[in-house]
Amino acid sequence: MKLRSLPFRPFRRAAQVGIALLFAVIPFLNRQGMTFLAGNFFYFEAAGAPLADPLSTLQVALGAFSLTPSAGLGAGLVLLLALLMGPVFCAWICPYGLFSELAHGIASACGRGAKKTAADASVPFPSFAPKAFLVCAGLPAVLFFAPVPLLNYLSMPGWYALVMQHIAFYGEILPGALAFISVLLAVESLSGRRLWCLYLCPQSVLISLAAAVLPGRLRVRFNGKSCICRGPENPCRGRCSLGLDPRAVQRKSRLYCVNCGDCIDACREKGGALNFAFGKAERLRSKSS
Amino acid sequence: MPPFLRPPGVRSEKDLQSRCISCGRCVAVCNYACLELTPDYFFFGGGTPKIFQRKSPCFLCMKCVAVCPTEALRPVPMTEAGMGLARIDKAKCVDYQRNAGVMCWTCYERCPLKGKAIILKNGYLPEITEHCVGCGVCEYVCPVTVVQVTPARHLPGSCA
Repeated sequence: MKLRSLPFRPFRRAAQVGIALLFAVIPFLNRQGMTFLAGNFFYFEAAGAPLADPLSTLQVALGAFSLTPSAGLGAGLVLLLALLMGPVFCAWICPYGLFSELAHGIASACGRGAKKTAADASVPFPSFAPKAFLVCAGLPAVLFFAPVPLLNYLSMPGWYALVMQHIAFYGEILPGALAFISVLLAVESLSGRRLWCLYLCPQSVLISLAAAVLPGRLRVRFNGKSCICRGPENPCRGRCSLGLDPRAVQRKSRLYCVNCGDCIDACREKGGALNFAFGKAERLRSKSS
Repeated sequence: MPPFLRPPGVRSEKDLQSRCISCGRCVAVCNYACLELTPDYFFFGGGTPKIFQRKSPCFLCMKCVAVCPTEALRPVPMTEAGMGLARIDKAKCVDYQRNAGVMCWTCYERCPLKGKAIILKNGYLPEITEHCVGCGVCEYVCPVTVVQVTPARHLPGSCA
Protein backbone atom coordinates (compact mmCIF):
# COMPACT_ATOMS: atom_id res chain seq x y z
CA MET A 1 0.00 0.00 0.00
CA LYS A 2 1.39 3.35 -1.00
CA LEU A 3 1.84 5.85 1.80
CA ARG A 4 -0.22 8.43 -0.11
CA SER A 5 -3.22 6.14 -0.18
CA LEU A 6 -3.27 5.73 3.61
CA PRO A 7 -6.13 7.58 5.29
CA PHE A 8 -5.23 10.46 7.58
CA ARG A 9 -7.87 9.78 10.18
CA PRO A 10 -6.23 6.87 12.06
CA PHE A 11 -2.99 8.83 12.33
CA ARG A 12 -4.86 11.90 13.53
CA ARG A 13 -6.83 9.94 16.10
CA ALA A 14 -3.61 8.34 17.32
CA ALA A 15 -2.06 11.79 17.69
CA GLN A 16 -5.11 13.20 19.50
CA VAL A 17 -5.47 10.25 21.86
CA GLY A 18 -1.73 10.08 22.43
CA ILE A 19 -1.55 13.76 23.38
CA ALA A 20 -4.62 13.53 25.62
CA LEU A 21 -3.03 10.57 27.40
CA LEU A 22 0.34 12.31 27.54
CA PHE A 23 -1.15 15.29 29.37
CA ALA A 24 -2.86 12.89 31.76
CA VAL A 25 0.41 11.07 32.50
CA ILE A 26 2.83 14.02 32.66
CA PRO A 27 1.65 15.29 36.08
CA PHE A 28 2.14 11.79 37.54
CA LEU A 29 5.66 11.67 36.07
CA ASN A 30 6.32 15.11 37.53
CA ARG A 31 5.23 13.86 40.95
CA GLN A 32 7.84 11.07 40.61
CA GLY A 33 10.51 13.69 40.02
CA MET A 34 10.67 13.34 36.23
CA THR A 35 10.31 16.87 34.91
CA PHE A 36 11.78 16.62 31.40
CA LEU A 37 8.16 17.08 30.25
CA ALA A 38 6.20 19.58 32.32
CA GLY A 39 3.38 22.07 32.07
CA ASN A 40 -0.02 22.17 30.46
CA PHE A 41 -1.68 23.78 27.45
CA PHE A 42 -0.90 27.29 28.72
CA TYR A 43 2.83 26.58 28.80
CA PHE A 44 4.69 23.38 28.18
CA GLU A 45 8.34 22.42 28.11
CA ALA A 46 9.77 19.31 26.52
CA ALA A 47 13.43 18.85 27.48
CA GLY A 48 13.82 22.60 27.75
CA ALA A 49 12.04 23.44 24.48
CA PRO A 50 9.13 25.77 25.26
CA LEU A 51 5.64 25.80 23.73
CA ALA A 52 3.11 28.38 24.91
CA ASP A 53 -0.46 29.35 24.24
CA PRO A 54 -0.09 32.56 22.19
CA LEU A 55 -3.23 34.11 23.69
CA SER A 56 -2.10 33.39 27.23
CA THR A 57 1.30 34.92 26.49
CA LEU A 58 -0.33 37.99 24.93
CA GLN A 59 -2.52 38.48 28.00
CA VAL A 60 0.50 38.37 30.31
CA ALA A 61 2.29 40.81 28.02
CA LEU A 62 -0.66 43.21 28.23
CA GLY A 63 -1.49 42.68 31.90
CA ALA A 64 2.04 42.80 33.32
CA PHE A 65 3.83 44.59 30.44
CA SER A 66 6.26 41.74 30.37
CA LEU A 67 7.31 39.14 27.85
CA THR A 68 9.87 36.60 29.00
CA PRO A 69 12.09 34.90 26.40
CA SER A 70 10.73 31.41 27.15
CA ALA A 71 7.07 32.42 26.89
CA GLY A 72 7.74 34.55 23.81
CA LEU A 73 9.68 31.78 22.09
CA GLY A 74 7.04 29.20 23.04
CA ALA A 75 4.20 31.29 21.65
CA GLY A 76 6.26 32.08 18.56
CA LEU A 77 6.84 28.39 17.85
CA VAL A 78 3.12 27.64 18.11
CA LEU A 79 2.31 30.51 15.75
CA LEU A 80 5.05 29.39 13.39
CA LEU A 81 3.47 25.93 13.26
CA ALA A 82 0.14 27.54 12.36
CA LEU A 83 1.84 29.81 9.84
CA LEU A 84 3.33 26.87 7.94
CA MET A 85 0.88 24.03 8.57
CA GLY A 86 -2.41 25.82 9.25
CA PRO A 87 -4.43 25.45 12.45
CA VAL A 88 -3.35 21.82 12.91
CA PHE A 89 -3.35 22.32 16.67
CA CYS A 90 -7.15 22.24 16.66
CA ALA A 91 -7.45 19.03 14.62
CA TRP A 92 -4.40 17.04 15.61
CA ILE A 93 -3.47 18.14 19.14
CA CYS A 94 -6.33 19.74 21.12
CA PRO A 95 -7.96 17.21 23.51
CA TYR A 96 -11.20 19.17 23.53
CA GLY A 97 -11.23 18.84 19.74
CA LEU A 98 -11.09 15.07 20.20
CA PHE A 99 -14.00 15.06 22.66
CA SER A 100 -15.96 17.46 20.49
CA GLU A 101 -15.45 15.23 17.44
CA LEU A 102 -16.60 12.22 19.43
CA ALA A 103 -19.70 14.12 20.56
CA HIS A 104 -20.29 15.11 16.95
CA GLY A 105 -19.88 11.48 15.90
CA ILE A 106 -22.57 10.47 18.40
CA ALA A 107 -24.81 13.24 17.10
CA SER A 108 -24.28 12.12 13.51
CA ALA A 109 -25.02 8.52 14.45
CA CYS A 110 -28.29 9.73 15.98
CA GLY A 111 -29.20 11.57 12.81
CA ARG A 112 -28.21 15.05 13.90
CA GLY A 113 -25.40 17.24 12.69
CA ALA A 114 -23.22 17.32 9.63
CA LYS A 115 -24.54 14.22 7.90
CA LYS A 116 -28.06 15.57 7.92
CA THR A 117 -27.07 19.09 7.14
CA ALA A 118 -24.26 18.50 4.66
CA ALA A 119 -26.29 19.35 1.60
CA ASP A 120 -28.59 21.73 3.41
CA ALA A 121 -27.85 25.22 2.21
CA SER A 122 -29.92 26.71 5.04
CA VAL A 123 -27.34 25.68 7.67
CA PRO A 124 -25.69 28.91 8.76
CA PHE A 125 -22.09 29.26 7.73
CA PRO A 126 -19.70 29.41 10.70
CA SER A 127 -19.01 32.89 11.88
CA PHE A 128 -15.65 34.10 13.10
CA ALA A 129 -17.33 37.11 14.72
CA PRO A 130 -18.25 35.71 18.19
CA LYS A 131 -14.78 34.41 19.00
CA ALA A 132 -13.14 37.48 17.50
CA PHE A 133 -15.45 39.58 19.70
CA LEU A 134 -14.42 37.57 22.78
CA VAL A 135 -10.76 38.24 22.07
CA CYS A 136 -11.35 41.89 21.16
CA ALA A 137 -13.29 42.39 24.42
CA GLY A 138 -11.04 40.21 26.57
CA LEU A 139 -7.70 41.79 25.71
CA PRO A 140 -8.71 45.39 26.57
CA ALA A 141 -10.32 44.03 29.76
CA VAL A 142 -6.96 42.51 30.70
CA LEU A 143 -5.23 45.79 29.83
CA PHE A 144 -7.58 48.20 31.60
CA PHE A 145 -9.96 46.36 33.93
CA ALA A 146 -8.65 43.13 35.41
CA PRO A 147 -4.97 42.41 34.74
CA VAL A 148 -5.32 38.64 34.97
CA PRO A 149 -5.30 36.22 32.00
CA LEU A 150 -9.11 36.26 31.79
CA LEU A 151 -9.38 34.42 28.49
CA ASN A 152 -7.57 31.42 29.98
CA TYR A 153 -10.88 30.67 31.71
CA LEU A 154 -12.22 29.86 28.25
CA SER A 155 -9.44 27.47 27.27
CA MET A 156 -10.91 24.00 26.97
CA PRO A 157 -7.55 22.21 26.49
CA GLY A 158 -6.31 24.27 29.44
CA TRP A 159 -9.13 22.99 31.64
CA TYR A 160 -8.50 19.42 30.52
CA ALA A 161 -4.83 19.60 31.51
CA LEU A 162 -5.62 21.38 34.79
CA VAL A 163 -8.09 18.64 35.74
CA MET A 164 -5.38 16.05 35.07
CA GLN A 165 -2.83 18.03 37.09
CA HIS A 166 -5.19 18.27 40.05
CA ILE A 167 -5.89 14.55 39.96
CA ALA A 168 -2.16 13.76 39.92
CA PHE A 169 -1.01 16.41 42.38
CA TYR A 170 -3.80 16.38 44.94
CA GLY A 171 -6.00 13.40 44.14
CA GLU A 172 -8.97 15.67 43.56
CA ILE A 173 -10.97 16.60 40.50
CA LEU A 174 -12.13 20.06 39.52
CA PRO A 175 -15.91 19.60 39.57
CA GLY A 176 -16.62 23.03 38.08
CA ALA A 177 -14.30 22.45 35.13
CA LEU A 178 -15.64 18.95 34.51
CA ALA A 179 -19.21 20.25 34.60
CA PHE A 180 -18.29 23.07 32.19
CA ILE A 181 -16.76 20.64 29.67
CA SER A 182 -19.58 18.10 30.07
CA VAL A 183 -22.33 20.66 29.53
CA LEU A 184 -20.59 21.98 26.43
CA LEU A 185 -20.21 18.50 24.98
CA ALA A 186 -23.85 17.70 25.77
CA VAL A 187 -25.00 20.88 24.00
CA GLU A 188 -22.79 20.09 21.02
CA SER A 189 -24.05 16.53 20.73
CA LEU A 190 -27.66 17.73 20.96
CA SER A 191 -27.19 20.49 18.41
CA GLY A 192 -25.05 18.38 16.10
CA ARG A 193 -22.70 21.32 15.63
CA ARG A 194 -19.23 21.83 17.04
CA LEU A 195 -20.31 25.14 18.51
CA TRP A 196 -17.35 25.87 20.78
CA CYS A 197 -14.69 25.33 18.12
CA LEU A 198 -16.64 27.16 15.42
CA TYR A 199 -17.96 30.13 17.33
CA LEU A 200 -16.42 30.63 20.76
CA CYS A 201 -12.92 29.21 21.23
CA PRO A 202 -10.75 32.32 21.77
CA GLN A 203 -7.53 30.27 21.76
CA SER A 204 -8.09 29.43 18.09
CA VAL A 205 -8.31 33.07 17.00
CA LEU A 206 -4.60 33.92 16.97
CA ILE A 207 -3.79 30.50 15.51
CA SER A 208 -6.34 30.97 12.71
CA LEU A 209 -5.09 34.47 12.02
CA ALA A 210 -1.48 33.25 11.88
CA ALA A 211 -2.59 30.50 9.49
CA ALA A 212 -4.20 33.09 7.24
CA VAL A 213 -1.00 35.09 6.82
CA LEU A 214 1.05 32.85 4.55
CA PRO A 215 -0.59 31.97 1.22
CA GLY A 216 1.87 29.15 0.64
CA ARG A 217 1.12 27.20 3.81
CA LEU A 218 -0.24 23.66 3.93
CA ARG A 219 -3.92 23.56 3.03
CA VAL A 220 -6.58 21.38 1.48
CA ARG A 221 -6.38 21.79 -2.28
CA PHE A 222 -9.34 21.10 -4.54
CA ASN A 223 -8.85 19.97 -8.11
CA GLY A 224 -12.21 20.50 -9.78
CA LYS A 225 -11.22 18.45 -12.82
CA SER A 226 -10.99 15.30 -10.72
CA CYS A 227 -14.27 15.79 -8.85
CA ILE A 228 -16.84 13.22 -9.99
CA CYS A 229 -19.62 14.13 -7.54
CA ARG A 230 -22.79 15.57 -8.99
CA GLY A 231 -25.70 17.52 -7.58
CA PRO A 232 -26.37 17.12 -3.87
CA GLU A 233 -23.77 14.37 -3.52
CA ASN A 234 -20.82 15.75 -1.59
CA PRO A 235 -19.25 13.17 0.74
CA CYS A 236 -16.40 15.54 1.54
CA ARG A 237 -18.74 18.06 3.14
CA GLY A 238 -20.68 15.30 4.82
CA ARG A 239 -17.48 14.08 6.48
CA CYS A 240 -16.32 17.52 7.68
CA SER A 241 -17.21 17.69 11.38
CA LEU A 242 -17.15 21.49 11.19
CA GLY A 243 -19.74 21.47 8.40
CA LEU A 244 -17.48 23.22 5.89
CA ASP A 245 -17.52 22.72 2.14
CA PRO A 246 -13.98 21.52 1.41
CA ARG A 247 -14.39 22.37 -2.25
CA ALA A 248 -14.53 26.02 -1.27
CA VAL A 249 -11.96 25.81 1.47
CA GLN A 250 -9.67 28.27 -0.23
CA ARG A 251 -12.40 30.89 -0.08
CA LYS A 252 -14.55 31.77 2.91
CA SER A 253 -13.86 28.49 4.74
CA ARG A 254 -10.16 29.22 5.03
CA LEU A 255 -10.42 30.66 8.53
CA TYR A 256 -12.23 27.57 9.82
CA CYS A 257 -10.57 24.63 8.07
CA VAL A 258 -8.21 22.98 10.57
CA ASN A 259 -6.49 20.62 8.11
CA CYS A 260 -7.93 17.50 9.71
CA GLY A 261 -7.90 15.62 6.40
CA ASP A 262 -11.29 13.94 6.86
CA CYS A 263 -12.59 15.41 3.60
CA ILE A 264 -9.53 14.09 1.78
CA ASP A 265 -10.21 10.62 3.17
CA ALA A 266 -13.83 10.84 1.98
CA CYS A 267 -12.82 12.11 -1.44
CA ARG A 268 -10.16 9.46 -1.90
CA GLU A 269 -12.92 6.98 -2.72
CA LYS A 270 -14.54 9.48 -5.09
CA GLY A 271 -11.92 10.56 -7.55
CA GLY A 272 -9.35 12.11 -5.23
CA ALA A 273 -10.07 15.73 -6.04
CA LEU A 274 -8.95 16.86 -2.60
CA ASN A 275 -5.47 16.65 -1.18
CA PHE A 276 -3.06 18.46 1.10
CA ALA A 277 -0.61 20.72 -0.65
CA PHE A 278 1.67 23.63 0.09
CA GLY A 279 1.21 26.68 -2.03
CA LYS A 280 -1.28 29.29 -2.98
CA ALA A 281 -4.87 28.12 -3.21
CA GLU A 282 -6.07 27.45 -6.73
CA ARG A 283 -9.19 28.94 -8.15
CA LEU A 284 -12.22 26.74 -7.70
CA ARG A 285 -12.99 24.91 -10.91
CA SER A 286 -15.65 22.41 -10.11
CA LYS A 287 -17.77 20.66 -12.69
CA SER A 288 -20.48 20.27 -10.12
CA SER A 289 -20.81 23.90 -9.04
CA MET B 1 -9.32 29.25 53.57
CA PRO B 2 -6.46 28.65 56.05
CA PRO B 3 -3.61 31.17 56.16
CA PHE B 4 -1.31 30.88 53.20
CA LEU B 5 1.90 32.32 51.80
CA ARG B 6 2.90 32.99 48.24
CA PRO B 7 5.99 31.27 46.78
CA PRO B 8 9.40 32.96 46.73
CA GLY B 9 10.09 35.73 44.26
CA VAL B 10 6.59 37.21 44.04
CA ARG B 11 6.71 40.96 43.46
CA SER B 12 3.18 41.67 44.64
CA GLU B 13 -0.21 39.98 44.72
CA LYS B 14 -1.39 41.99 41.72
CA ASP B 15 1.72 41.18 39.72
CA LEU B 16 1.38 37.47 40.50
CA GLN B 17 -2.21 37.46 39.29
CA SER B 18 -1.23 39.29 36.12
CA ARG B 19 1.58 36.94 35.25
CA CYS B 20 0.55 33.53 36.55
CA ILE B 21 -0.98 31.33 33.84
CA SER B 22 -1.49 28.30 36.12
CA CYS B 23 0.93 26.18 34.11
CA GLY B 24 1.81 24.25 37.27
CA ARG B 25 5.53 24.07 36.56
CA CYS B 26 6.39 25.42 40.01
CA VAL B 27 4.17 22.76 41.59
CA ALA B 28 5.73 20.03 39.48
CA VAL B 29 9.31 20.81 40.56
CA CYS B 30 8.59 21.39 44.25
CA ASN B 31 10.44 18.64 46.11
CA TYR B 32 8.47 19.17 49.29
CA ALA B 33 5.03 19.29 47.66
CA CYS B 34 4.34 22.49 49.54
CA LEU B 35 3.05 24.46 46.54
CA GLU B 36 -0.61 24.10 45.69
CA LEU B 37 -2.75 25.36 42.87
CA THR B 38 -5.99 25.69 44.81
CA PRO B 39 -9.12 24.83 42.84
CA ASP B 40 -10.64 28.32 43.11
CA TYR B 41 -10.19 29.02 39.42
CA PHE B 42 -13.44 30.88 38.94
CA PHE B 43 -12.27 33.74 41.18
CA PHE B 44 -9.73 36.37 40.26
CA GLY B 45 -6.30 35.08 41.15
CA GLY B 46 -7.61 31.56 41.53
CA GLY B 47 -5.37 28.71 40.48
CA THR B 48 -2.26 30.62 41.45
CA PRO B 49 0.34 28.86 43.65
CA LYS B 50 -0.10 29.00 47.39
CA ILE B 51 1.80 27.58 50.35
CA PHE B 52 -0.21 26.48 53.36
CA GLN B 53 2.62 26.74 55.81
CA ARG B 54 0.88 24.87 58.60
CA LYS B 55 0.46 21.92 56.27
CA SER B 56 3.81 22.04 54.47
CA PRO B 57 6.13 25.07 54.57
CA CYS B 58 8.64 26.26 51.98
CA PHE B 59 12.19 25.03 52.55
CA LEU B 60 13.61 27.62 50.15
CA CYS B 61 15.04 25.14 47.65
CA MET B 62 14.25 27.84 45.05
CA LYS B 63 13.49 25.36 42.27
CA CYS B 64 10.12 26.96 41.55
CA VAL B 65 11.55 30.38 40.73
CA ALA B 66 13.92 28.85 38.20
CA VAL B 67 11.15 27.31 36.08
CA CYS B 68 8.44 29.98 36.09
CA PRO B 69 8.02 30.88 32.40
CA THR B 70 6.40 34.27 32.95
CA GLU B 71 8.58 35.38 35.87
CA ALA B 72 5.56 35.58 38.14
CA LEU B 73 8.17 34.13 40.49
CA ARG B 74 11.37 36.11 40.01
CA PRO B 75 14.63 34.16 40.00
CA VAL B 76 15.89 35.50 43.33
CA PRO B 77 18.30 33.95 45.87
CA MET B 78 16.78 32.44 49.00
CA THR B 79 17.78 35.44 51.10
CA GLU B 80 15.48 37.60 48.96
CA ALA B 81 12.49 35.26 48.80
CA GLY B 82 10.25 37.97 50.25
CA MET B 83 7.38 35.74 51.31
CA GLY B 84 6.59 37.42 54.61
CA LEU B 85 7.87 37.98 58.11
CA ALA B 86 7.69 35.64 61.09
CA ARG B 87 6.86 36.77 64.59
CA ILE B 88 7.34 34.91 67.88
CA ASP B 89 4.78 35.43 70.62
CA LYS B 90 7.33 35.82 73.36
CA ALA B 91 4.72 35.74 76.09
CA LYS B 92 3.95 32.14 75.16
CA CYS B 93 7.29 30.86 73.76
CA VAL B 94 8.74 28.30 76.19
CA ASP B 95 12.27 29.64 75.67
CA TYR B 96 11.13 32.93 77.16
CA GLN B 97 9.46 31.33 80.21
CA ARG B 98 11.95 31.77 83.01
CA ASN B 99 10.62 28.96 85.09
CA ALA B 100 9.89 26.52 82.30
CA GLY B 101 13.36 25.05 82.32
CA VAL B 102 13.15 24.34 78.61
CA MET B 103 15.54 25.19 75.79
CA CYS B 104 13.38 24.42 72.76
CA TRP B 105 15.13 26.28 69.93
CA THR B 106 13.22 24.23 67.32
CA CYS B 107 12.51 27.30 65.17
CA TYR B 108 16.16 28.29 65.29
CA GLU B 109 17.42 24.81 64.49
CA ARG B 110 15.09 24.26 61.53
CA CYS B 111 15.25 27.72 59.96
CA PRO B 112 16.66 27.49 56.39
CA LEU B 113 18.46 30.77 57.15
CA LYS B 114 19.65 29.63 60.56
CA GLY B 115 21.78 32.17 62.35
CA LYS B 116 20.65 34.91 60.01
CA ALA B 117 16.86 35.04 59.98
CA ILE B 118 16.62 33.64 63.51
CA ILE B 119 19.38 34.29 65.99
CA LEU B 120 19.80 33.30 69.64
CA LYS B 121 19.76 36.48 71.63
CA ASN B 122 22.01 36.28 74.67
CA GLY B 123 22.89 32.80 73.47
CA TYR B 124 19.54 31.18 74.24
CA LEU B 125 16.54 33.32 73.27
CA PRO B 126 15.33 32.88 69.64
CA GLU B 127 14.69 36.16 67.90
CA ILE B 128 13.52 36.94 64.38
CA THR B 129 15.69 39.40 62.51
CA GLU B 130 15.07 41.61 59.49
CA HIS B 131 16.61 38.86 57.33
CA CYS B 132 13.56 36.64 57.80
CA VAL B 133 11.93 35.88 54.42
CA GLY B 134 8.75 34.29 55.82
CA CYS B 135 9.18 30.74 54.52
CA GLY B 136 6.94 29.39 57.27
CA VAL B 137 9.22 26.61 58.54
CA CYS B 138 9.32 28.09 62.06
CA GLU B 139 5.52 28.30 62.15
CA TYR B 140 5.31 24.69 61.00
CA VAL B 141 7.80 23.26 63.49
CA CYS B 142 6.94 25.26 66.59
CA PRO B 143 5.67 22.68 69.13
CA VAL B 144 3.56 25.22 70.98
CA THR B 145 2.37 27.10 67.85
CA VAL B 146 3.47 30.52 69.01
CA VAL B 147 5.21 31.50 65.77
CA GLN B 148 3.15 33.12 63.04
CA VAL B 149 4.21 34.37 59.63
CA THR B 150 2.60 37.49 58.26
CA PRO B 151 2.43 37.12 54.45
CA ALA B 152 4.22 39.79 52.46
CA ARG B 153 0.91 40.98 51.01
CA HIS B 154 -0.27 41.91 54.52
CA LEU B 155 2.89 43.67 55.65
CA PRO B 156 2.87 47.46 56.00
CA GLY B 157 4.12 49.06 52.82
CA SER B 158 3.12 46.10 50.68
CA CYS B 159 1.90 47.11 47.25
CA ALA B 160 -0.50 44.15 47.04
